[in-house]
Amino acid sequence: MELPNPAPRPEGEVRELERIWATPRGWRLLTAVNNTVIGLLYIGVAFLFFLMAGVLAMLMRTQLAVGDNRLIGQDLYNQMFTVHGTTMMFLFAVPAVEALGVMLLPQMLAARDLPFPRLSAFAIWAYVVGGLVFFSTIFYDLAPKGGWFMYPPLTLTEYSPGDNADFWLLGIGFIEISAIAGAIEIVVGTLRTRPPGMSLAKMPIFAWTMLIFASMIMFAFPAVILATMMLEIERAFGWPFFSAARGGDPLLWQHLFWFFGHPEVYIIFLPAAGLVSMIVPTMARTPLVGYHLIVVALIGTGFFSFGLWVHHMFTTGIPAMSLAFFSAASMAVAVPSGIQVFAWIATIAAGRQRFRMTTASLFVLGFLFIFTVGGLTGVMVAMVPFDYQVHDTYFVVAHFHYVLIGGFVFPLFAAYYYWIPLFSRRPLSERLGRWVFWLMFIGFNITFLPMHLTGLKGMPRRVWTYPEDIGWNMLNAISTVGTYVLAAGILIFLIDLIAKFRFGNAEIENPWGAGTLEWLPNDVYSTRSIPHITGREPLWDRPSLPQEVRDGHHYLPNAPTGGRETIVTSPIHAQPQYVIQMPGPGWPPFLAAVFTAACFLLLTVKMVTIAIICGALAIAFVLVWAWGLDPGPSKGTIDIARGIRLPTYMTGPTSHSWWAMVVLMIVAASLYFAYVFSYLFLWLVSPEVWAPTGSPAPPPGLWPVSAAALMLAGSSTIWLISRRLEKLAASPVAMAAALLLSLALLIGALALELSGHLMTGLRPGDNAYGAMVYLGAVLFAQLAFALTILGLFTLARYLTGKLDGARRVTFDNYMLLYHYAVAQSLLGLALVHGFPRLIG
Amino acid sequence: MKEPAKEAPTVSAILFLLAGPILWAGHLLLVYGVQSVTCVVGSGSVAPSALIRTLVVLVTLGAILLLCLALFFPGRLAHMLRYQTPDRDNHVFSVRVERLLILLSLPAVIWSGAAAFLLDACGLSR
Ligand code: HEM
Ligand SMILES: [Cu+2]
Repeated sequence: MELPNPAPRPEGEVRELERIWATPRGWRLLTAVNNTVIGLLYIGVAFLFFLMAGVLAMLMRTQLAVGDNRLIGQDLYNQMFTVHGTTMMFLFAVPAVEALGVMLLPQMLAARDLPFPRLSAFAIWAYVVGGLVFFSTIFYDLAPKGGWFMYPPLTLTEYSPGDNADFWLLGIGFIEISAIAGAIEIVVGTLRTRPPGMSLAKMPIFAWTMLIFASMIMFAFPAVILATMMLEIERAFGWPFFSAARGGDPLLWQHLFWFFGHPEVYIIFLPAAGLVSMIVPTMARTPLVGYHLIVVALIGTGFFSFGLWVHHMFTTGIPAMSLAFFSAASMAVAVPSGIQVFAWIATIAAGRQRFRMTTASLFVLGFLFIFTVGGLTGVMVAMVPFDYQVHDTYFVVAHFHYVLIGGFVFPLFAAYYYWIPLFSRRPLSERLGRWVFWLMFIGFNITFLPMHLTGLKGMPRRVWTYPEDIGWNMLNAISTVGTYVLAAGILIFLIDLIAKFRFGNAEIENPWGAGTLEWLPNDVYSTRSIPHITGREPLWDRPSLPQEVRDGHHYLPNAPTGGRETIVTSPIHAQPQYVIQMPGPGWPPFLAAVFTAACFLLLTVKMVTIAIICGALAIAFVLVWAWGLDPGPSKGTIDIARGIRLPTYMTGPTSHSWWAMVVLMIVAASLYFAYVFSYLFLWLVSPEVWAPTGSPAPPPGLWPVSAAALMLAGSSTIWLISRRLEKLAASPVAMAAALLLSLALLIGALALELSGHLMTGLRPGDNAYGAMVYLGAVLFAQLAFALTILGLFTLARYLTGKLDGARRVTFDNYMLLYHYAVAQSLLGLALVHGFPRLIG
Repeated sequence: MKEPAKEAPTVSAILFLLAGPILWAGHLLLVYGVQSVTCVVGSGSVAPSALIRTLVVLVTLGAILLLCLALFFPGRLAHMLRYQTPDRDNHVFSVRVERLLILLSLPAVIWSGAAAFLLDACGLSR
């Protein structure tokens, strides 16, 4: 292969890179956005949540050690399992995966950073602040008690008065925000910032899993976002989505929650499998067997996991045939997992040298064992009749801890041992590592293996104590002992970590002799030059690569724009397309996150005025931050290698901001899809409250038709501005008028829609029909609100000369969101006005 | 490397590679939707049962047919979707992924379709 930059590089380039990518010091560390810094914060906090939720687990196990125990009261126990489950699932597992993505993806893809560093920083800080507040509610008797899936009607105000349940909704709100932000980052990152030559067929498996992880978030989280919105609205304002007496249905919550909740399990598991697929080949010193099969298995699992949600509802009285449809998918999803397990075993067997038994390998093997057991009991509970038997018993608790701890915690520990040399000068102790592993492995099995039996003996989950003479004592005592053994293992890990971890790069560059790019010589700016990729294990294929990369013989060995930048490549074949200029450290993302957190919190405790002020401040800081983006084409084109010149600015469908917007629109669309599903679902359940017979008929056809006309006029205005942006740049009055007109049209349509329904006498609190109708308007209003801010922002950029025919990213975003809002609202009009007429 | 090249639209790639699972999802959505809506609207009378059975079978057969077409003629599908991969590596990869995903989706579709023959359309199982 010919080197992209064969000539020797001039002096001083590395120093320049170091200066540009330097980590801020002192207090300003809070402003850092570089993935190595915030990624570390992210994973550190996620691990903290694991420890804290683990302590709760130990307390619960202590309480259950003997029958008729009075150590922890019932109410506190209820709070504990709820906080334990919620924290583990939402504040530990999902964020830990995202953290790994933020930390490892840029290194694995040899990109200088992910494309939206400040977005990551924002997401992480919102999570840190929001998560800590959520967890602390357990200390003030304010924690939710409804279990991690918070089923109504138990969680409605009638049965859960006080703010406890609202804190759950708050905590979840944060995770939703940061998960979506992370998904945008990861989708665009994996698809667009791969090194030149790394086509899809050469992408590391971990990157595949992260891509699938992020795509799954795009489709799964919106369902729970909608559900939490509805529950909060019902709790605060009494719109009866889930109250059966007024046409709502608690089962709607279960559908929405599990449409998210089951994929959630795979959202956690797939990246863990990705970690394993990276570690196994290194330890076996041979390429992964069945790369294509594994990619297929991952995609298949990702898809099938969406067809399973009803298996959590086998006992809710759904027709047998529906159950069968979902039972089929529950079985089908086992096949791809099996494929992966065999591929790993084959890789271990294929190595010509012996498989190296490092601590990471031990955790991988432990994972294989535990996860397989969890998979087997999973197939058992996927069988409807068996599930009837063990539903809501300790059998299920045992099953999902086998899957979650085996399938996620063990791979995560493997990853800690494996990748720590990238971030710490000293690795963890391999000798202590064995202790950690064996204590955890044995402790885990002592804790959870007996629980299968406890469950079969009939002990229900979520009970704070049990009668002493019922025959569950022995098994429970064993489980509790196991928990302490497990905890001892984690404690040793912690001590070792504190003793060894020192920020910086390891002395030995590639301690395991791995083949993937994260083991190239690394610094804050990632690799000195971005390598040209020709195979799946570049470091094995080309032993001289590290030296070449260090000497700057590959792409972009310097910082030609004088700021942070990385190469953007095409999504399929990874051909270089342009160089993206990225923002550096700054206060706005941090402050925006803090004020977002404050706003939500204050809303939860009903301090509305200050909450609104904080919300406004949060938006203000987001705007300050966005103001610095969209640099425009001023830096012209630059050389990234001999004979390859790339632009430093891009607009339109190839640009990363366009992609981010499309991801956001997909998220919004799946949320809307969940809304349409809910509307039809509640109609199926309670046709008697639906218009035109059970409720006032919708307003005359002229209302929706006029609203639609206004929106179409708005879209046309936007379309015209887009075509004429060049010319309009010369006439501020026309441009301002056109932008304001587009906003006025949209808001006019919203006002028409709302007043039409108000006029008929329908109120959202009347019944489920009214609630759904007004919820549609709420979703419309949300978009209109976002568009108002974005539109005025666009106008401001234009008036200050930061927007013109060439520099138009802000306008493009406004345009995309606008058209999307119109499309969504037109569909909404058709549903809300058309459907009652159809059935009437 | 040459000019910053144009490549097939990403949407085409997604549709081509994921043809199998997408058809599977469409199938599940249809059979589940048809069955649960008809059950509620027809509220357990005999006619909907036969109707549901027929619809499920038809939808399933349709899905199987489409899956088989995509399985045996990936070239056609790629052409229809304007998805090209000029180099061998990516070509082999794409076709293999597409086919294997279809092979995974086929049994899942057949399996859930088979419910039509085995179970009562709207009754509970207990
Ligand atoms: C570290 C060791 C762990 C121990 C000893 C442990 C123990 C427990 C116990 C005793 C319960 C309550 C059972 C009941 O009363 O019904 C529970 C529930 C739960 N755990 Fe864990 N757990 C551990 C780790 C995890 C992890 C890593 C996760 C997820 C990633 C997790 C997720 C859950 C969930 C979702 C629940 C259900 C909460 C609910 O009923 O709402 N656990 N666990
Ligand atoms: Cu599930």
